[in-house]
Amino acid sequence: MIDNIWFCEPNDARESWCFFAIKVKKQDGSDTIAGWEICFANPNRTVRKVADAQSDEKELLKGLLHELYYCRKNDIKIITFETNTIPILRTRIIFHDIHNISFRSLQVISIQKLLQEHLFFGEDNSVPSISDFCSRMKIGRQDRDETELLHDIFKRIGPLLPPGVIE
Amino acid sequence: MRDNLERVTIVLAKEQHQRFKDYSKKYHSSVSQFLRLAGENELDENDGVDDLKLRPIFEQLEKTSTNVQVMQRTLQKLEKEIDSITEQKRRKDEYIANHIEELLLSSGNKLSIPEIAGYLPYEQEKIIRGIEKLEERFVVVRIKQINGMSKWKIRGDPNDNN
Repeated sequence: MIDNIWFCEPNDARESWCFFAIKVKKQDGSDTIAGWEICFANPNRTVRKVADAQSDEKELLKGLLHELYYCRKNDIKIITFETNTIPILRTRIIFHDIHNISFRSLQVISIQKLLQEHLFFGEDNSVPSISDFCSRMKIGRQDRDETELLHDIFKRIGPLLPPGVIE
Repeated sequence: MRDNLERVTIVLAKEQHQRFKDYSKKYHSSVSQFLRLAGENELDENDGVDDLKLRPIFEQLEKTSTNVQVMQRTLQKLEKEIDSITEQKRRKDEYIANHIEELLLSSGNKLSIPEIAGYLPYEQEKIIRGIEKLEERFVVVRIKQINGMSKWKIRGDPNDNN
């Protein structure tokens, strides 16, 4: 049994989750990606953030796909707010004719879907927007990126979810 | 004139015409015969040169294409192996995490990593990974000790004030 403190604590620099948001822009009637933002975090803290925004969507996607492959390889769960984030991404990959991409074994959790399935928002059960939801949960939005807000929401709702939902 | 021939008119410089005529006479031929032969030679020569020059390039391209295909197949194989290793590791981590959860739930106490290692037959490193998993599932709460090792307790214990 090793009782040296250095061998008895979890790694608080570990990247357990990848909070992921995209900035969508309407162009010629279709949704295009104008920017993305990623925040790697664990239950205790935010570890690192990466983002990109540029007019060349194909270049933008290349950087993003690099990060997503990193997640896949390191078994990091991807957490988005909207359910359509990954479908939009898939569509743009096809549109730009980017090959040799795989989302196999990529684990994606949509907070919007979790809210819809496990929380109650009145008779019509319409899920609020991220800003509305943060206001209701009293999560401060000032000077904070969307991915940081996702981290807070996830930590708040995570303990109340049944087993298997976020694992 | 024979049926399989066709008459064409060409324009030549006077000096050029003279040179062709002199050359033809020297070899007991006509200017027409000389120009026909010269044209055929030009065509034969260029066709051959093109083939000869391009053949190694085509061969190299074919080799490269085969190499790319082999590399693509290797990459696909590697991707599958990564997925399989990741999946195996995930299952093993989950198995250990479940055991730690059972231990913490049944004991009701807060336990440090070495204390958990005293109860369970896993390497300390695996137990740390199991605890990390449990934190990520929001199953346990970390209790930081002043000047000591952190301890973990099952989340949601009504008697727990932490």
